[in-house]
Amino acid sequence: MAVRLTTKLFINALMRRATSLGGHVTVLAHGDDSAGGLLLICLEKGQLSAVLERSTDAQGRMVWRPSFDQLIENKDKLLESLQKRAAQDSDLWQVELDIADAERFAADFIAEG
Amino acid sequence: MFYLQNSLTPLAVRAGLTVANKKSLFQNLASLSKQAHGVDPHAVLDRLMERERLGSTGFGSGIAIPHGKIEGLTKVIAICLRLARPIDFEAIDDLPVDLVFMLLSPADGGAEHLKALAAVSRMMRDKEFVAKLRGAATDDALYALLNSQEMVTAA
Repeated sequence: MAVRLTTKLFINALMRRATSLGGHVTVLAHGDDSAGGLLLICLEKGQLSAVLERSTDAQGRMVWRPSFDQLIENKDKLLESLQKRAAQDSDLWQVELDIADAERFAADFIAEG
Repeated sequence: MFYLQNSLTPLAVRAGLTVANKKSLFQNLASLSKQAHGVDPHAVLDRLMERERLGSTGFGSGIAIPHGKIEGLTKVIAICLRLARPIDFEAIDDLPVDLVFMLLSPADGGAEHLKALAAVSRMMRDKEFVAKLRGAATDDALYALLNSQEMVTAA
């Protein structure tokens, strides 16, 4: 059976990997260490490119699901929505990742999981 | 589950293609997208250039994975090229690129796109397999490698 990292360990590993590749990670909202959900706000050179939510597929494998797609072009509304999510779910982590090709980095990171 | 075989056709694979630079590469990818998948080459070129302006899709180790989502697609499509001569790609490790794996997904296929990206990234981390890709002398050999049974990639 695959061992599932706690959310905090997963984020720490993601931070180490991103930093080693010249990326930058900021925790915007600190959720539950062991089983909190995770929203990854992807930036490239400071420009928002995607918001991904960590989830599991039908086979129980960890996957990213795009989230707030319709708000990517509207940063103010997105921030407002992220704040609402944080208020509704105090267990949810919100982490900002700024790295080259952030979507591919995130996909690659979870695939190696 | 992402099945690479469903996204590639023999026309979508080229071994030993010569391109002068990144722009020429993207023009070739757009043209091949039309030939192999019947996709509007202008839409492909626009999307690839737009994505690249955001930041390089150079993966490192001489590999690039240009990607994006465009309207009108019904599934993930792929193009794989081995270049005759490496080109500058402003990759993360500054190494010139000679292996290119383009992925395009439907505009509303975000989750599928991420699975495809993960699968191709994983594949490109397999140094032995990448060496085989670099050694493939013909389009057919490259296609056969990519289409081999073990390349049914879960992600």
